[in-house]
Amino acid sequence: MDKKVLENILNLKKEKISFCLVSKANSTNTSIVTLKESSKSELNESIVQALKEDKLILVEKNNEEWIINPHNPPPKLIIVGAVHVAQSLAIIAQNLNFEVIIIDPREAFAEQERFPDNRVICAWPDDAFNDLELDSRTAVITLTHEPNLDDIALERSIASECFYIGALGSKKTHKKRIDRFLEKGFNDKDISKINGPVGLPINAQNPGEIAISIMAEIISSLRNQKYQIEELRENWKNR
Amino acid sequence: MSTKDPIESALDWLNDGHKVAIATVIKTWGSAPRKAGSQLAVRDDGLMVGSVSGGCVEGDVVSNALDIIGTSKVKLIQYGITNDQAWEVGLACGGDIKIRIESLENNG
Repeated sequence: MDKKVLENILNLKKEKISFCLVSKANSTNTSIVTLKESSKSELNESIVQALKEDKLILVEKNNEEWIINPHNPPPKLIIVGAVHVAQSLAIIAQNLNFEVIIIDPREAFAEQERFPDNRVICAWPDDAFNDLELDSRTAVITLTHEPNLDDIALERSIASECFYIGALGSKKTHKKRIDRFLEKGFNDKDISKINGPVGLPINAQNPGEIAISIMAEIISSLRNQKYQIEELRENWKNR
Repeated sequence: MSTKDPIESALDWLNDGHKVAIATVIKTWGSAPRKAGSQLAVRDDGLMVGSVSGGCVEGDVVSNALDIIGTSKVKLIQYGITNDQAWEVGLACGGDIKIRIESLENNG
């Protein structure tokens, strides 16, 4: 690899384009193959497999060993409710290479200074979601405690491909939420997509600890799903 | 605020006139600490960014990287579980890993 290859890698990562680094095990020759171009490659099948499983694979072809190292765009975390837990959660998710987006129509909360490293959208979830792609690498978490804010976001998320949906609130709050959604005509399968009470049960006591419990649950969902290659191809086409 | 991408560090270092190598985990068996694809960038003065294990073999990887740095060469190394021989480089976790170290070229 030389500087040109490194620059191209960083550009593709910035553009959020899926690609593989294809190298011979015993030489410095490395090429970049994007998902779009992979059909032309002799190693297409392995390239698609590596991206889909998000896992490096070794392939023997023509008596040579090839390394196929996949790079998928980072997962996205959409936080509805720019509250105190959101501040801790944004820092943790950012550190895990998630792209973090925070939505809140309340100006006092949706203050960029409260989230210096993240995109903050001061709008109702319904409007904000119109400009966001909820794909299979997206997690949505609602933290406002306000049914009229949280529910819109949850309804949109249920109808999407996102890999994780979580809603903050006690068992009692969640029970009320389930009743509201049943009344709106959602079925059990839809409603079961919402993780509530949110997070792994670690007896979290403060915003930072709650954020860790939520993030742990999100990671658990992420690592138990496969990347959807067709969807990545679609996203590419829409650029 | 995330930890730095080894590729980004590698490019910065090359731009600063350093020689650089990149180590990549290409295969794992058993309970390896970092999954295949994990990378460690090594600068000619030994500074490193990223990881290929839980800290067990980085020292040895850096010294192997320094051996080939600036030569456009590739080196493949395999590490297994530490045995009774004291201080032998290996993985205490009981895993096996294969690492490819590539010296980067400062052109292009």
